[in-house]
Amino acid sequence: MNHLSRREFVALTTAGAVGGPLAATFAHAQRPASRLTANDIVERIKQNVGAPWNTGTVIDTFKAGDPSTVVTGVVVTSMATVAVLQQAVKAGANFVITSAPTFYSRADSRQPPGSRGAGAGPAGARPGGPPPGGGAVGAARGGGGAAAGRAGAARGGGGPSPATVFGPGTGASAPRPPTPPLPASAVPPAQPGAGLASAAATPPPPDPVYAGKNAFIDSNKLVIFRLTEHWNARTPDPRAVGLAASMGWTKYKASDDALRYDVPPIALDALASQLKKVLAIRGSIRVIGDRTFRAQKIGLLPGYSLIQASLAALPTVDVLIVGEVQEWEGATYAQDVVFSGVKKGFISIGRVVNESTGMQVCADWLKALVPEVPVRFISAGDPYWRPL
Amino acid sequence: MALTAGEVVNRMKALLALQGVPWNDGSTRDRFKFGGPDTVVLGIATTFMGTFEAIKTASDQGLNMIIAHEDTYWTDADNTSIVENDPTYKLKVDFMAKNNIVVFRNHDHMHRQRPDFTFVGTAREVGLDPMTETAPNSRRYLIPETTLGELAARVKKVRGDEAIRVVGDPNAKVRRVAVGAGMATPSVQPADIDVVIGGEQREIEGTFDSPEYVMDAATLGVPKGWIIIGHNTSEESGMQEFADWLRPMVPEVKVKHVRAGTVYWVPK
Repeated sequence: MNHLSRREFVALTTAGAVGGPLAATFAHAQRPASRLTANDIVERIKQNVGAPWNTGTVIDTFKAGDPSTVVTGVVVTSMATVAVLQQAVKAGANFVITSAPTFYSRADSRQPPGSRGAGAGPAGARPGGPPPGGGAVGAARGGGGAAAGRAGAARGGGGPSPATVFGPGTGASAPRPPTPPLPASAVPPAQPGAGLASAAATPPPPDPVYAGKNAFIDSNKLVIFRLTEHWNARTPDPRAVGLAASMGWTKYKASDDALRYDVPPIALDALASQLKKVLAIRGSIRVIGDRTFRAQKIGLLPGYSLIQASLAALPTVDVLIVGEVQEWEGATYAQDVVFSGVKKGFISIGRVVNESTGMQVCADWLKALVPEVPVRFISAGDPYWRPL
Repeated sequence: MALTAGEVVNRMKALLALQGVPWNDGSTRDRFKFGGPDTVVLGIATTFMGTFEAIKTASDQGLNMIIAHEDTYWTDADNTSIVENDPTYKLKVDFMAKNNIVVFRNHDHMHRQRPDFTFVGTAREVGLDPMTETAPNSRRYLIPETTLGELAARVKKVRGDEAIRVVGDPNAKVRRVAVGAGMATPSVQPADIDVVIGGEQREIEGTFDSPEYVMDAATLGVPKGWIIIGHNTSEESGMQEFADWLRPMVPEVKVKHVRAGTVYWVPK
């Protein structure tokens, strides 16, 4: 495996950052020059989000960059992947608002967990330790993120509806068995002179993914803010509103409940195919139930849900569309319900796909809130694909 | 004298202790979930989870003792207080009572055994040659270099299960594979892992968000892959090994692996 140097990464990740077909997107807006900073925008969000701001939050905070940066354009996204950041830069935006973490865990730290050496798993070390390798870590560190609690810290207030808990899991996970490191002899050195065998003497090379992402953020002076616990606490749930709007279901809303829709009868497999097409899902969508069963009453469970939510919702609808559930909870419940002969459908569309529907609504909301700067939505897409 | 469920569990405990895994009475998972030690056993079914399908399939074959790796009532803790008013729960419990079913869970102790049958089963099920495991029970495999796309296609073909989900560049060159079972899907981050093949893990906000990491790796040209085959799929096959292990201890009755059933299908 090739390990690129940091310089190569900077070159690689900044390539295409200027020019490109989207370069003029924001320039066309011809707005008067704005002095609005990222922090100004966040303050407006805090005042207007509709729920009291949880000042102790470690989730909805700046994750990278300087909050006093003057904003040239805002990109709202489901997940600030490197690909999304590249598109943001091409479009002339320097402030990214994301639903998902940017640095691969709830702790959202710019440094990788533990050492980059062999067998170092995330369970072994806490984020926020001294940066391994040093050089790749950004200097323009923003506020908040570094103080983020450990992965799995209890959620702060202002969360989503009780039915939709996106907390750190149920405590139900099987204990994670230790992953023994591969014997050094079985693995060729990662790069000449920096092999695993000499890892004790030489600092391990920086994690190339963290390094590449940090370098791209720093060289383009991007500012990243996570907005999820307050956004998803809104009523009605923006993820449900966005999904319904995309599917053309808004007019079928049942008795003012954004989580219930009475649609014209549709077969379960046709419904699933339609969701897949409309939401641009690749591999994320998975279904339980008789393919030919014709459904009318649709229920939505946005985000990550515990079993209590599925138990409460499935008996009251024909088909339940969820973001993400743990397989041995909601999914096997639905499997048992269907096996018992009750006509029901259960569709899991995926958490990232589901957050996308909510952040699309967020982008529209933000356009009105910060008219001084251009705001656009860029989806991170569906992480998953399926082999043929 | 008729074989009781209590006697089956006692023999299981004795063999585990002999193999270095003394029984831990403190385990909240590994207990009777329906019926009890006095139930007379006519046959034993091992299965991934006490799904209605597994219980009915076993019962139809005259196997009234179910030894399941996972839970029966849709939470790890098998918390019946949250399901007792659910109509499907009532149907399931009525069926078990009527058919003299006894359910015992063996989760924690299976994972303490070496080898851990769930990992052995996963590796077998996805077509990994045991000879390519880097060290006994390392759960890491060094395979001839291939692409993520080819490896994923092979896993899907061997498994025959369509609801497989893959993250990463299909053209990424990979050869160092780490295998996980169930939620014990390892992180894809360590430098000496190219691909993780696992059962289940949170999409975001898990211990480590591997999907986003692998997406970024793909954009940055770092060869990484994540192949998620499902919790059920990853642990079901090891219940075959468990049945083979249990069989010699209970010669009085038939011991058979029964599948808990396919969870998901995928739309066109």
